[in-house]
Amino acid sequence: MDIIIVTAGLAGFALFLILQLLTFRLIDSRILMAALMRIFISASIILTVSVYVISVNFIQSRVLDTISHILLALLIYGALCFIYVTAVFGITVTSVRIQILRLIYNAGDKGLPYINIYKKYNKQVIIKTRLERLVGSGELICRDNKYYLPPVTTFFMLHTKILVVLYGVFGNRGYQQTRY
Amino acid sequence: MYTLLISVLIFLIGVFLHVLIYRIILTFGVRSFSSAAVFVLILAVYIILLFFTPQYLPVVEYKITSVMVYISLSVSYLALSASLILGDESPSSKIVLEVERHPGIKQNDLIKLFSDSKLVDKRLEDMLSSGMIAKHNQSYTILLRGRLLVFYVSSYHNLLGWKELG
Repeated sequence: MDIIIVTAGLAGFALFLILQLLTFRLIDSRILMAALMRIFISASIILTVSVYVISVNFIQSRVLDTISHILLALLIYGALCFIYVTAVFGITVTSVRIQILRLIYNAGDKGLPYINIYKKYNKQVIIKTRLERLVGSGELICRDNKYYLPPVTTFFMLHTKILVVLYGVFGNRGYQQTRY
Repeated sequence: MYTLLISVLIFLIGVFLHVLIYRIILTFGVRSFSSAAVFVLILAVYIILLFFTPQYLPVVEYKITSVMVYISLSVSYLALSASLILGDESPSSKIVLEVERHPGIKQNDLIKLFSDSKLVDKRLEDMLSSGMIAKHNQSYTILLRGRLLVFYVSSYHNLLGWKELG
């Protein structure tokens, strides 16, 4: 069962990547995060059912062992997805640093003056894009041009809360205290 | 269940040691990624204990799974901690926190809470110091390291059929 659990975790991650490749060509960029979450949950369900079937029907495991197999496979799968979203998806899609780098790259060898970076990529552009994405993904609600949190805690909010705690642990001034 | 518990416990020991070493190095004013080596060291010790001297460990039923869980969790944590070490604040996280503090806030009021210098200048300085870009007479040009990163990002975008996203 050892190899099966690891293989199931890796296969779940591969499924996640394939589903993402297939669906992301067709969707609006404003709903990327919501789509990513749906793909993650769909692949999780397929992985859970697969490991359950293998564990119960082929290995004849006890209930506690079956739960353990599912949890281990989900943990590997979840961690791989998290690494991908943080190190690949996050950097290539939402990183401010990368967007600035692409602007400089597009300017060619003559370079890009400081003032032109501000003209093309400034706080208005950055915040408007993110607000559209957060509303599109259901992380925020927009009513009469005013923004509210949804009634239920979202995964992104949970992630942000963890980030705020860790931000202080790593010796930074916390998000809440920092005034832009 | 032992496999899960032991893997997570060893990972948590790694996190504790990583933060401890990082904070000690930080007292000298250095933000260093080198403390991540503690995870590699723990992995080496764990593999030796698991496969060569298992008598010193409680029974771990699924050894390969246990190592894989530890590696997955460690790399996840290191991916998250990279931005924390750089001291980057995610604009999206900041927006969500501000909306939590001020329900019903308007877009213009949100924009006022941010500054171009913090959002753009800090990133430019980081990229200058990491050798991705160069600055000549108030103009920025891209260097080889930056080109490679843009190539990687563009390849990924092409794979997914995306335009610029921002």
